[in-house]
Amino acid sequence: MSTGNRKTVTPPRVTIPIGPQHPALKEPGMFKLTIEGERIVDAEVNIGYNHRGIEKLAESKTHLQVLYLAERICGICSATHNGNYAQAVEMAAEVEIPERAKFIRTLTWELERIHSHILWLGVAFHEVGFDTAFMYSWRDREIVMDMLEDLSGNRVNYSMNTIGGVRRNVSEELRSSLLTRLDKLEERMIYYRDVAIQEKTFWNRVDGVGVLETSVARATGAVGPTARGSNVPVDVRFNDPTQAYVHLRDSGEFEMILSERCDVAGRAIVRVVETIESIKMCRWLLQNLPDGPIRERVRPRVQPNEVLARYEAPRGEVVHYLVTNGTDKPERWKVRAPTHANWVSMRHTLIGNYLADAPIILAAIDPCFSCTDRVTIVDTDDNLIESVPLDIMRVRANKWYRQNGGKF
Amino acid sequence: MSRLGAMEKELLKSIKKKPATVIYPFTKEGLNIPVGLRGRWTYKNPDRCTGCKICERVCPSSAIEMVECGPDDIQTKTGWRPICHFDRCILCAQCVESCPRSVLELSAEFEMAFLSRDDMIIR
Repeated sequence: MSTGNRKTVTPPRVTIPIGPQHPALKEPGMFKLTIEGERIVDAEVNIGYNHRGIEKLAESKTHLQVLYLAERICGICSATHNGNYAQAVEMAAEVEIPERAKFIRTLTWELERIHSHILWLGVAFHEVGFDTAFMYSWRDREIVMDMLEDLSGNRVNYSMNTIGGVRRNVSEELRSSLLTRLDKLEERMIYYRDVAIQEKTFWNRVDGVGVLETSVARATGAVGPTARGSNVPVDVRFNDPTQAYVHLRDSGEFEMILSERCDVAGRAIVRVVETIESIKMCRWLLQNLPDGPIRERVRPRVQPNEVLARYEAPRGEVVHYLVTNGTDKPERWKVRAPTHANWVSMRHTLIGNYLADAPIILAAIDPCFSCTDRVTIVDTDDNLIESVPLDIMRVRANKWYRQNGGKF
Repeated sequence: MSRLGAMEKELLKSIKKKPATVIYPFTKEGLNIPVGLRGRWTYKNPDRCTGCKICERVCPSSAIEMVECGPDDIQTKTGWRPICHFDRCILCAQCVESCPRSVLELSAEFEMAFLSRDDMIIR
């Protein structure tokens, strides 16, 4: 073809659906990316394929039983929901738990943050195709998994918290063994921080990708490392501390990790540095562990009350709204998982980037769909997505109960 | 000299190391089973059971069922004793914690695969 005949062809807009079932997705989610050539020009992100009715189920269980149900909202942040629910019930019952229980509860939370962030780092390495670091970081994640197993008796669903305190004590041998392993873990994490910054395989893929400006992060209500990576100082541990975080903040040794980069690299740096900060927090908690009982007796019937319990989960702020009615069961329980807050900003971060960068941008908020899924109804026949308001939901529920005779 | 990347040293060091994993079904060495593991549901002191049904009431997944004591069983005060439908058990150990007479226990046994649901009823 001669140069005279050459003409510029504008690539047509193509919509690429990813999911709901896709080999690359660990949980069902639907992403419709509209692309022009290799650039993403529009994105639609939908969830709602994994609704499990946990909140409704909780209304038929006692507070003690809901603890174990809450834990199963999310596999990675199980101590988060378990502990935050326990905290919510204690607030509703207006009881103060012993100091030692607060410290152990916070220790479990912080160890969980360490394992969750290392997990994210491994996933991020994997998403950019740097599988060597993925394997190595997950090998070293086993150190903290073993620590949690020794502490609670289980690798994943720790069940450490109960209403009025914690269920297991930390013996003197366990304390010294945890401290030794924390040193090893810190050494490894500093190494991975340096790898993440110095290794071009990783850094060039995340530098300047998926930019979420500070103003947009604020406007879309981002939380957790997503917000802190965009220089928005939101961290419940420092802004509105509960449990032993009050002591941690007052000690003045710890600070909120922020990054001004606003891109995926910023979020990665926040997470890695936060892991090192968490290790220091765990060490502080173990060194200053007070003596005393680990649980307070709380009556099963909780007085009528309405509380909002907040906690900084590894992915961001998690909110448990609980209404109690004087019985041993919750009247209403609502969970706002952090991914729900971060979800809104996702579209903005995707637009303008290359299609090949979509996986790492999606992974950068550390999404957890099943924690988030609440009431969006998706009609699989015509792909209709419908958000159902409360009154229609109630009408449907009543109809269902009438037809099924009010029995499960 | 061209380098393998920032992890070069670590990679070369690992050549000499043993694998981090163990070939589990063939060997159980190096599995590091912790002392307080919450494993298979068992009776610790079956003769101390009074049949108070607290374990059945607290179970979050309705795994525990109270059955009447048979002639061969240890006779409890109320004539009922717990059995566990282990397929429903979520290993939370709330029954162990709530039992006033420490009858139950979650043992260190972690191999809990069965071929039939009937095999999973722990009597």
